[in-house]
Amino acid sequence: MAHLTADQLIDIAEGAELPSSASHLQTCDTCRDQLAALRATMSVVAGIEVPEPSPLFWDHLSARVRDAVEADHPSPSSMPGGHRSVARAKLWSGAWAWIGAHPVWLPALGVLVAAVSLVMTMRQPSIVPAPAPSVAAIPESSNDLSAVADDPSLSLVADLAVDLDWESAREAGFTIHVGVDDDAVNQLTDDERRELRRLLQGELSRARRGA
Amino acid sequence: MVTEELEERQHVDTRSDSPADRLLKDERAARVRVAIGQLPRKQRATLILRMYHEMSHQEIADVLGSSVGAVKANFFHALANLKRQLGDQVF
Repeated sequence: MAHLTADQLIDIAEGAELPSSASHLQTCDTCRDQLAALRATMSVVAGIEVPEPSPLFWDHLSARVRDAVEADHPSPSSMPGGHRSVARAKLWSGAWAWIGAHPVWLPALGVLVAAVSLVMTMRQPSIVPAPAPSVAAIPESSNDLSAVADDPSLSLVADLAVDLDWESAREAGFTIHVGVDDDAVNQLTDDERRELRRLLQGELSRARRGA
Repeated sequence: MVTEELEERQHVDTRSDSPADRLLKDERAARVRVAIGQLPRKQRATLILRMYHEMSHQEIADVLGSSVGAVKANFFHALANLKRQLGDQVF
């Protein structure tokens, strides 16, 4: 005599009516005992309280779902370099928020920004030291880039330096040394310093408003 | 019948339980939870999804990437293992 299968026993234990199995159960003690044990265990399991998961569980669950959706449909932030852009944006927003909360550090930050900007400008490999005023006439408006591009002296220098890489420039004596930013600030005229301060303050207050 | 007795016990108003009864009930529930936690992973998942999330066999099969037959077999073995682990402690 073939006993009931696990499938059949589970179906019956869960309330399904299987006429073909009913006649077997009437005559088979083994299957009847198994069925009773299944029902008893189900009753015990159903009787215990299941604690609600913590709110963190749902946060993590939604994060996992979001990751899964993201994996199926990559957003721009998941593209190569995208995470870096997002991280950079977060860094900046955090920095501006910090600045907004600690205005006492603004003057120090202003000096730091000026120094870093000057160093960055002077470390650009493609920038060739400007010729002396006696060689190249300085354009009247420093914001007019077309005037710079059209300047024949600068074009000559640019043509001569087109194959010059940074290593060669350094070997030729164009070096950046420690404290060059201080020197650069010291060399600014009073008007240039005032203008630099005005620009920095404008940028910082715009950033504060944005934060 | 044992099953009927257990089912009746589940519907008893627990507010009238004595502290000793509540303590025993809590202890029994803790033992069941421990036993469920010791089941093999697929059996445990099947039992939890079926008993506490009331998912159908087909839904569980979809979630676990198996067949309905395998889900029923896992559920059967989960209950049998629980019965063996708990023994007479809770029955």
